[in-house]
Amino acid sequence: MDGEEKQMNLEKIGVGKSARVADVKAEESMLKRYYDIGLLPGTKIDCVMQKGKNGMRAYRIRGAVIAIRLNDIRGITVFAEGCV
Amino acid sequence: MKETRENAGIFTFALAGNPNVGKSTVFNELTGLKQHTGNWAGKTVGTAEGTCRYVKGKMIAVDLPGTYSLIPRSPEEEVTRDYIAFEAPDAVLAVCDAGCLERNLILVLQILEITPKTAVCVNLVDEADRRGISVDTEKLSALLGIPVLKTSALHGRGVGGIPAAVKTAASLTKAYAVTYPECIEKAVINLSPLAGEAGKSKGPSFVRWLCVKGLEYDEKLMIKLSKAGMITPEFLFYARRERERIDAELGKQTTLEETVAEAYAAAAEKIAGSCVSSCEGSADRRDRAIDRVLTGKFTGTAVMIGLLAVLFWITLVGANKISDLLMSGADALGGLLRRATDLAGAPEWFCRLLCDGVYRILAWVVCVMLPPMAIFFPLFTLLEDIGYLPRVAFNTDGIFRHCGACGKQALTTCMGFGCNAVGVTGCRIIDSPRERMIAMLTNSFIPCNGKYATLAALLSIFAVPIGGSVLTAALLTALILLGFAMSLAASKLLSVTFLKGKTSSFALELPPFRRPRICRTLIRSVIDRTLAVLGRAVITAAPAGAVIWLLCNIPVGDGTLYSLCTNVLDPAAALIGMDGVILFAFIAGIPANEIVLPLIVTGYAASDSVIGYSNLSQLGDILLSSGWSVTTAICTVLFMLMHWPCATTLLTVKKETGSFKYAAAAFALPLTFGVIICFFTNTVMLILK
Repeated sequence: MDGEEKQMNLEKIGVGKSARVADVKAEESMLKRYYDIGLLPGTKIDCVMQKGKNGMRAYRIRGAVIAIRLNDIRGITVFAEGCV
Repeated sequence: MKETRENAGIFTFALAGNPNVGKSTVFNELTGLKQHTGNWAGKTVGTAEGTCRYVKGKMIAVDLPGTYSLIPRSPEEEVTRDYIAFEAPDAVLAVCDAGCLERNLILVLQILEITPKTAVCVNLVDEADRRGISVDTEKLSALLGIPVLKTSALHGRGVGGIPAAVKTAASLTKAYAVTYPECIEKAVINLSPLAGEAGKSKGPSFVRWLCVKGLEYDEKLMIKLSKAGMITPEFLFYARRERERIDAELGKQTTLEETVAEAYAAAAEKIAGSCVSSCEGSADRRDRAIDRVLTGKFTGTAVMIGLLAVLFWITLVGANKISDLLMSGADALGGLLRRATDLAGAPEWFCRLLCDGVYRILAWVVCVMLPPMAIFFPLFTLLEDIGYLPRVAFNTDGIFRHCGACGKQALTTCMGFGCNAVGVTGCRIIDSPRERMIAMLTNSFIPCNGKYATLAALLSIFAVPIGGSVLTAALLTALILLGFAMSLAASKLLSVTFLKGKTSSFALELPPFRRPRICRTLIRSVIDRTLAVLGRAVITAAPAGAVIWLLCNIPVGDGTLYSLCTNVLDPAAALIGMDGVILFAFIAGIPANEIVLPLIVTGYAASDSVIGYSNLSQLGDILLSSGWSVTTAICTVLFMLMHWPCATTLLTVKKETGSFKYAAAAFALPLTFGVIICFFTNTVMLILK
């Protein structure tokens, strides 16, 4: 991975776009959830759905589609990778 | 969960796996039992146990709740971990989704740490095939060092190999182990000798697991492990020392938990990478296209309400016809019963008790309540099987968020459609205690099948003759939406008053759409539900019918004991637009909502001489001739939607929360809403008149 790449918040990744996780921060219980589903630094993640501006986002993570509230992804930063 | 005496010594294996990988389907295939299944995470709550027969005898299968990991965050996941770690089954069957093997392997690797006596069942291979994903199970077996088999449990394929596989697994002593970074491995070496004897006796891989758990230091688990003699006080002391050393070594960039999680994920990624070949594309594109419609800004809501309305319309039209058919049959049968009891020379009062009391109410339950249930719920189950419910949760999450509730409450709300008691138990999928409580207390605003059938029957009687079935279906949809809106209002109310707090976070899995097995689902749910409902009807309705008849026929003063009761209730009932007979039926119907309408009709009819009943409109005539007005009908419908939940649901709330206070709240909350709304409606109608 290129160290020069620009880190950005996961919420900036729109539907159909892909990214690689840089850092995962969340309150403890959610953090454990992220670990369980394998959402970790280095994991590839595609945004597949979004419900309105403030609604849930759904991401493909390790083969599964997982929906998360916008509030809960604020602590996740990613490197953008372009389209899926 | 404890082994019963007769089962002691019989080979026992546990089924573990991520939620929604078809574990319950595998379990059902193995045991012939009928655990309810559905395409969404969290279907199985609690454990189920069944006997599985195979050529060489029998073994016991234990279905554990689905879990993403053995590092638990909810009581559900704790059940799974504790069962595997402490109950020590002879073997574990890890069920995986072939379409999502990598994520599933994370759990498999964690299970292997506790016990190598594990077999992997790669399930849903048919579905994965269609999606262009294939798994090389031989290679997977070689890499993990344990038996691996392919199954498609829904079609019964491959399940026959499971008994042999778990038997082979039971004799294993070693399997693939995850390698951790240097600093953790060092701690494992240092801590291993300090493990308790009970821990060491379970083999080196278990000791390794103990060491990692010691580093994670989950207080509750440490106490359990100490009690079981698996770890020693020195172990605990040094575990904390090692943890401090590791924390210092890892620095601020990462944590032990993250490092451990990364080790699992990296191993799973590597293994899956070499066993799974995927040319996924078209199936995924299809799913996404369907999702765009089902969750679209306008289409999402339109589809949701449209589907409900169509389901209701089918139910109303179908149920009407079946009801009329059943009723003419029941009428004839009632005549036969009467003649038979007469011929047998039974005393007159007994004949009447049996025919006018017990038989009649049983007939009402079967004829009027059963058809809507038998039509609606199989159809609803189909939606569940396809995977539609998580999409509903995705769509409605915004509303739940605004109400301070968890988005998964949409799922428990949907479960409430079938049975509020099941919905309340299902609330275990909600991790936050505050949000779980909100979901439990507001569940009964959604009409369960008993209430739903009553609503459908009442609307059939009053609305279909006037507005036709389409309009009635729309009315029923509006009514259910009202119930949903009230459950949200109640959630909001609770979240700003008694159950104040921060909304918690959660992850909702949206599974791929699955092709349901239509015939099988229809037949199963009709037969299972029909039998269940008939059973419940006999148990609760028969004595209720007898009691009502007796009350009606015991004279007190000018009237009967029954009229005395209803007269006492009359003034209160009048305030909310009903009468004493109706309110009495609601109260007597606490055991099961299915019997409320039959009780009302019996209540009116019992004071008259025998009334023939051969179709639904005659049922309406009884109500109309007993003084029902438009207001009565509207208020009864609204009160049916919002009153107390049945006794089973209340007991379930008590069991789940461990407190009478919350059961009382579950009783009072919908009742308060119902009384206020009915009072308001009644008053407005009186003024309008």
